[in-house]
Amino acid sequence: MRSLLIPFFIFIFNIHLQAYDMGRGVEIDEKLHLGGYFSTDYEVSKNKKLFRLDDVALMAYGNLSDELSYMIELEAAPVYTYEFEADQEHNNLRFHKERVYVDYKYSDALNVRVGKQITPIGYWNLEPINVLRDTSSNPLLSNQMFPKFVSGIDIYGYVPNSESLSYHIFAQNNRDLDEEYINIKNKHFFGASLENEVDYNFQYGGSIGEFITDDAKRSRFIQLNIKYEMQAFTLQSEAVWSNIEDHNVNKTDYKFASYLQSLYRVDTKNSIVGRYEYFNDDALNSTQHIGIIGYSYRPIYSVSFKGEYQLNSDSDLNKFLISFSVLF
Amino acid sequence: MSKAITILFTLFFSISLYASEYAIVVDKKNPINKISKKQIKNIFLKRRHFIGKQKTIPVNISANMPLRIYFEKNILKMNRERLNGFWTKQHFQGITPPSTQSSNNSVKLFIQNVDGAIGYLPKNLIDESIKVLYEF
Repeated sequence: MRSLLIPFFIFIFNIHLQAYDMGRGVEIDEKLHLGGYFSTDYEVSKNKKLFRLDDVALMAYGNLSDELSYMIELEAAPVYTYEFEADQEHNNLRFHKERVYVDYKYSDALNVRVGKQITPIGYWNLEPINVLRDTSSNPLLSNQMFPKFVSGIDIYGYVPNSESLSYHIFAQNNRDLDEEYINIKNKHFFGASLENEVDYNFQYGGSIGEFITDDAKRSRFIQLNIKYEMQAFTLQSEAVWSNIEDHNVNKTDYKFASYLQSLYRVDTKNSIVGRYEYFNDDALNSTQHIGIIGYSYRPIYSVSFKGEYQLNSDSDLNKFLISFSVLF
Repeated sequence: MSKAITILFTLFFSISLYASEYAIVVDKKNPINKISKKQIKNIFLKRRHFIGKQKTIPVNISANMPLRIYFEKNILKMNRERLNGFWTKQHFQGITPPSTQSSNNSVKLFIQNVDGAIGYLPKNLIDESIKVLYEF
């Protein structure tokens, strides 16, 4: 198999090398566009020191007709981990389905996406890979409050007669197509979101949703997001409040997570980023305050070097992170 | 007298300076008759695909052509670095930039031959086969 794959890739890349634009993938034809990404990181904290080839992913997408398009993304993560203290290595080259969907574009007001897809909520969740983010780490909001993926249907588009207001209505009533990388396993997830792009420098929106986890906890959440760009500065904030009914013990708890992130672009390649996070889990009686200061260098947009220091209200969780990531 | 001449010249040069040289155009048979700057931006960033019921297919001229740079600066209001970042993010979403033609004449041919095509041309290339929607 490998002896077939290597000549295939050499052939494809030879054909397209001259036309290749880093970060835009390789277009075989209208029906097939290939790309992918990877990221590595190095983390040092009080109890941990590790190096990871965190994820390797391959993407294929294209237009099957004027109305019909598709996306397939397969990912292995973490591919390689080395823990310095324990002197241990872990390898994982099993690729799993990260996204598999088809899109039917009927009009600007009505589109339908069916399959496994990223949950259309907020900003962070829609750009979940290292190379597209401004920090190596993710805020707790992005993996604690709602499932990152929907395996079902999303009806979306622009609200009729509006130039800037877009909507999503999504639903899942089955297990996830591939549960390996899903943050919250569930078989019931419904929601809706609205986003108003006042102009390209100012956007805000919100979502509501409900999901039931495998351990029969029903969460209902409300989410708000806002982004404002002013010359070299970008301010971005999201907040999610969740009400959780635990039917096993007939108890109701809540969770709240938010972050406020500020980015200053020193020039086209260098940025400084600061983030404050607040997370509260009523059931665990736990509250965290996290402050992050980071630096990002992008020689071109699709190649990212980042470093950050995280200061946590639980000082055992303070950490230093550097990462290198590429979208190709 | 000299004051009046100065005012006249200032007026003349102001008018020349702001006279539009380029236009957003579609084929004469295309039912679209007008378009806003925001609609143009949304179409060329592939956020919108229709104007009314008419499907649109944006076409760019090559990235190094002065007209492309002028269009990006004055209509999209985005510099090249920002656009590169934008299309990199779109690649992750499975969306590719508009197709590109190497010359103004090939843009014109594309518009004349592809149903729903929309592009930009210097005004001196516009004839009765092309419909102007917006001047810039």
